[in-house]
Amino acid sequence: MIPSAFSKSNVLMIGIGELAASGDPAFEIKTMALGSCVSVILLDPKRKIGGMVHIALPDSNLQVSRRVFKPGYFADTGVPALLAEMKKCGSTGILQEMYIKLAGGAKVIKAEGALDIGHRNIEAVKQIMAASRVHPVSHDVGGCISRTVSLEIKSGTVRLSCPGREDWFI
Amino acid sequence: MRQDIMDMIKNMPHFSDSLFKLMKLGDGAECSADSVIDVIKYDDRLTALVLKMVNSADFGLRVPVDSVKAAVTMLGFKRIYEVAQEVYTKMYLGKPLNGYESASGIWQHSVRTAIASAELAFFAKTPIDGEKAFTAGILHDIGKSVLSEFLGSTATQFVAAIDKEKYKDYLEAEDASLGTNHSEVGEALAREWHLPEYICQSIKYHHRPSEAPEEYRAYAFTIHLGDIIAMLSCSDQGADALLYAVDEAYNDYLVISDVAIYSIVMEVDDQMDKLNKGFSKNDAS
Repeated sequence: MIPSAFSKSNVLMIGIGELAASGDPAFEIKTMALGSCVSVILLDPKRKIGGMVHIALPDSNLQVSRRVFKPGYFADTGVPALLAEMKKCGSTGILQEMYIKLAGGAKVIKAEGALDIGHRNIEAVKQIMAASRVHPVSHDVGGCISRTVSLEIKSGTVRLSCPGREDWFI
Repeated sequence: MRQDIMDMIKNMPHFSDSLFKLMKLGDGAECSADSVIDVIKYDDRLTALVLKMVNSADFGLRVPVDSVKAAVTMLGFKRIYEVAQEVYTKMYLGKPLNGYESASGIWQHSVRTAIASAELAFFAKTPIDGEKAFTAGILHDIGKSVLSEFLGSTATQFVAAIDKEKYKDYLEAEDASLGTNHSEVGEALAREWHLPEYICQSIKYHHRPSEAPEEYRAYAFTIHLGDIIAMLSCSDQGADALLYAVDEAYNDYLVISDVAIYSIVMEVDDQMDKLNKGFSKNDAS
């Protein structure tokens, strides 16, 4: 479903490694210009609560201290941290009760191995979901596409935009 | 069209006299405190900035410093030069580039590239200077500030054509449309401003480092990989983001592990966070 309009106000902007959740239907959560980073969007359909985390790297073992001050930076700590934030907003915080959407995980042309960070991020997020036996309801990942991601709490719709392309929705 | 672009280059204003003087001091064998002070003290923006920096809470001084000489001694050339580059390139590259559909310009991307390039310099097989890599990195996309004017509303068609593999990357699309590209234009601009050769070569070959003359190839590969890391960690530079190819020969010039690449991604994010907080606090733009 395409939302009627996205308000310019009431936007919770999240940067790299940050996360946010809200149950206020007037709010939108937005993150800019995902490259290889992945945005995990969780929606609690019963309680109309939505959240988003902007994950930069797959594994918090890369820098253990960062787990504490920026858990959203890594896939393995970012998803649990977002669930905890959802709980603060009144959700159960149980992954199996959520609708999950994914966006990002892009690469530059011909990137492989360590430079295909996007693929590794996506794989890390999928492993976490597989461990909880859940799957995304929709996703738009990979390719050489910069994605700005906006979640409308009211509808749960996620709008994606990129310079030089028409907006699209997941 | 190509001639119009080259004519425009001759009339482009440069960043600032002070920055170019510092650049030359940094490039030379000797860089005395007196020569740095002479540059700073005639530049009101830099004078205000260095005094603000030494009097910040970071230094914890009991008595405020009010002389440029004392400030330069405390900060050192490296820090002053970095700050001067960040401030003046922000004024130049922080403007919207409509030809690339970039509303906020390419300054954030340029600084990310500079930081990544300086970090990558440690991993170059042929030793290169991290500070020079920073400078070449921050300037690598200056050609876009000229080319943007001539691109008009080509972004949508370029992106679609690259998706369909009509062009192998955005550089080839620019070439096909204008007879030149932002790397070539950037190099011409750097030569017009009499910038050092390593900067000219790094700008020209940052997307095609294998084609750089051998003596500058280590710089070209370092800036190339710095540019890619910057794009991956935040692809905010415009319609061309991510639409460039990795030159796989980077392994011949940089010995770097997967973990080291991830560490650089984190370092770039941390330094950008710090820098952006500093800019919003000081309103240096």
